Amino acid sequence: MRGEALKGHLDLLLLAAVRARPAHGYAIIENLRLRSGGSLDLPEGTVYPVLHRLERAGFLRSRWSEASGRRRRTYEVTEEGLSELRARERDWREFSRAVEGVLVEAT
Amino acid sequence: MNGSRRIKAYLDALGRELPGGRRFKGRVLAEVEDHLREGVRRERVDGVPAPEAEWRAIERFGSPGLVARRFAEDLTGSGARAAAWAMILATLGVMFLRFLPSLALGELLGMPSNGFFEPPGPWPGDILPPHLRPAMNVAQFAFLASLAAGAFALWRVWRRGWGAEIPDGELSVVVSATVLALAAFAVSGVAHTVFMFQRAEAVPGSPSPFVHAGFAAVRATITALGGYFVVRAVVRLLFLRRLQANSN
Repeated sequence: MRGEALKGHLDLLLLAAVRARPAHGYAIIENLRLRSGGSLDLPEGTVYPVLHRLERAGFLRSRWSEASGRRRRTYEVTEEGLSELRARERDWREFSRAVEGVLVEAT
Repeated sequence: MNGSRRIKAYLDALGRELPGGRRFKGRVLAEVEDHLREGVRRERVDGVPAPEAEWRAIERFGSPGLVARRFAEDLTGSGARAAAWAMILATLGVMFLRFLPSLALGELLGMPSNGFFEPPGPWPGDILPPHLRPAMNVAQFAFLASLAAGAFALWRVWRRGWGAEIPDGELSVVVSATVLALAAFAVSGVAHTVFMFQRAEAVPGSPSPFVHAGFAAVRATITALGGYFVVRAVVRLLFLRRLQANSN
């Protein structure tokens, strides 16, 4: 699945990717790639604007830390972000069921 | 070009194309550098030679133009919100100055119930020069236009969600209304000050002209700051839109 198709779902995917534990940008992208079996493949740099937007919206918070002598920004989901994630998950499942229903009927 | 020079060149290019202020760019570039170096490190662990590892990490990240455009897309919505908030706050600042000193402060200081700047009557009503009267009357409530414009802009942003933009047509109306309202209020400030000075000379018991001069200076400063923040927010918004348009 390429970038444009993913664009509308990135908020949901990124919130889901940091739900379990705080992570830095590289780890979040790697998590997405691994959990999707390599299907979620998008230019890595396009993830950062979304992380920043989610932080501005209060769904994520971030802090600097040191790793291998480099400054590293780590993101974690907030309570508000968890609520948003649950709401988006619900919407996605409904949407997915609806599309699946139409596709099954069409075949 | 060796590896670290390649990453540095990428960061320089991204820094030139990114929208936003120095602090914002600094944070983004630090994050991107960490990301690229982590990518290189992992490639190297898999035995990829350094130049190839660096090339791959940069290739996977996307071009500086693409990354900058994505940031611009997201920042356009916040630029619109900042413009709308600047309009609202500028207006509230002007309202605060208009009403608080003349009523609440007068009350607080035990001045006559007709206000801090109102000397005990009777006093002639025709002190204000005739040519200033229409300007003062119109400008007295000009802030309402600014408040309405800011509220309208915020409402539009709220309706469209977090990634919102105010359409160009609406933005120009909102900005024109706000700038005109602030200008009108500045004119009213001048007229009001002239009026106060003339009345202070004609009516015994009026507050000192220095009080009026001080008040006029504070009022002018707040009005100018309000105008500055509105214009700054709008210029930033237009810059982001141009960046988006150029990148498409």
